[in-house]
Amino acid sequence: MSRLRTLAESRQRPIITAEFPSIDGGNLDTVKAKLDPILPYVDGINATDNPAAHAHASNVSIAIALKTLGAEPIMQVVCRDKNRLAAQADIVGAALFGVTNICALTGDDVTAGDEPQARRVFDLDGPSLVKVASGLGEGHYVSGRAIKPAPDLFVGAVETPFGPPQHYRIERARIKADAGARFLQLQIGYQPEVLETFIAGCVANGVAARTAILASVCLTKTARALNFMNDSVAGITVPPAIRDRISKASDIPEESYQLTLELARHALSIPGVAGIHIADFRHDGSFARLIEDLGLDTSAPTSPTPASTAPTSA
Amino acid sequence: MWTVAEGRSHHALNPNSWEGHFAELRPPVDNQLRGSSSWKNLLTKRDVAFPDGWMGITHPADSSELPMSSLNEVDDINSLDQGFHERTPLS
Repeated sequence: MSRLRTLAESRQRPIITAEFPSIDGGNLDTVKAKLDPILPYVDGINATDNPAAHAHASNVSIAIALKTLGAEPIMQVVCRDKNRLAAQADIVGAALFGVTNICALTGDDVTAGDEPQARRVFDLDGPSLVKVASGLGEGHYVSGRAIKPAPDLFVGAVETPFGPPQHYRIERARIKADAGARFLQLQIGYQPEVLETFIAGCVANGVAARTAILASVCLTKTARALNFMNDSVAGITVPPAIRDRISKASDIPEESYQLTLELARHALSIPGVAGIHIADFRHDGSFARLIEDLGLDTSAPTSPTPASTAPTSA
Repeated sequence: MWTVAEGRSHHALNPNSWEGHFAELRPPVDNQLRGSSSWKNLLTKRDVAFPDGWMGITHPADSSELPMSSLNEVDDINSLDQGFHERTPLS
């Protein structure tokens, strides 16, 4: 059983996952160099699938590389670039190498990337891919053709609490949980009150009890990074007060770190949040500092014993 | 467009069932239905005929002995039906 699954089911302690940087060239040593600074501090690492519609080394190759190097990969699968045949083949194929955590998402449109001329696929969407992946874990393809033995998959998804219409995001999380998502990684957000509302809704409708919800934070060190996310990344709003706070700080990198720490502390304090997902754009040791400042310890052993801390529906 | 559609699903003139449909898990599109009559598919319930695996049905038969060639290819992809998305003409 994967460590992510063990923690998601037991809720022994907060889960920590991270975004793995995109790789465009090199070899396993290139992957290792990016992995080593974060490996001791995470329970799972996302092997992304052409993020923001930019081509990179494939999700399958990075997931297998991470597994080879001793990490626990979470293989993202997006619907933009592959039809249902290719998506299923990737998931079943990666499982042969022990890649069993799958994060299904619809993905950005090709117009978000640097090759907007590409044909978009979207044979499935995120929620239906969750169900398809869950079906693979149950031992059958979409056609019904049996898979023996069935891969021991742990399937999750993403959700964007901060994108409009915000009230529907709670319902969309429920749809994904019903489809088989057992963890949900949330979009990066700078609106704590919106996150609280979303999580409260997920506790009320029972999603938080059966699906480990991971709030996301982003380690940045410039005001420009926040402005870019606010202006160019769908589903992310950085309130003017936060942008002003960073841009007017005497030590912008430090103030940026403190902001991330505050957001992470707040997220982990919300009943129903099972952990955090961290995207590190600083690459300066702040990842380890953040884990330490949050008082988290991923070296603690995990056991599949259910804890009583899992939130229950109202 | 999606957010507009979601907003209109709550419109007072819409039947309640339309609003509910918005929150349903949508099955994969059957691309074989392209070009066929949606009214006919509705009446014959062809539009709710989903793949077995989607319905949670596993075929017990072992398909490992079925002959499948990996060397077949379509001679001219422009001769194929367009599929769900419009094809960009090849030069």
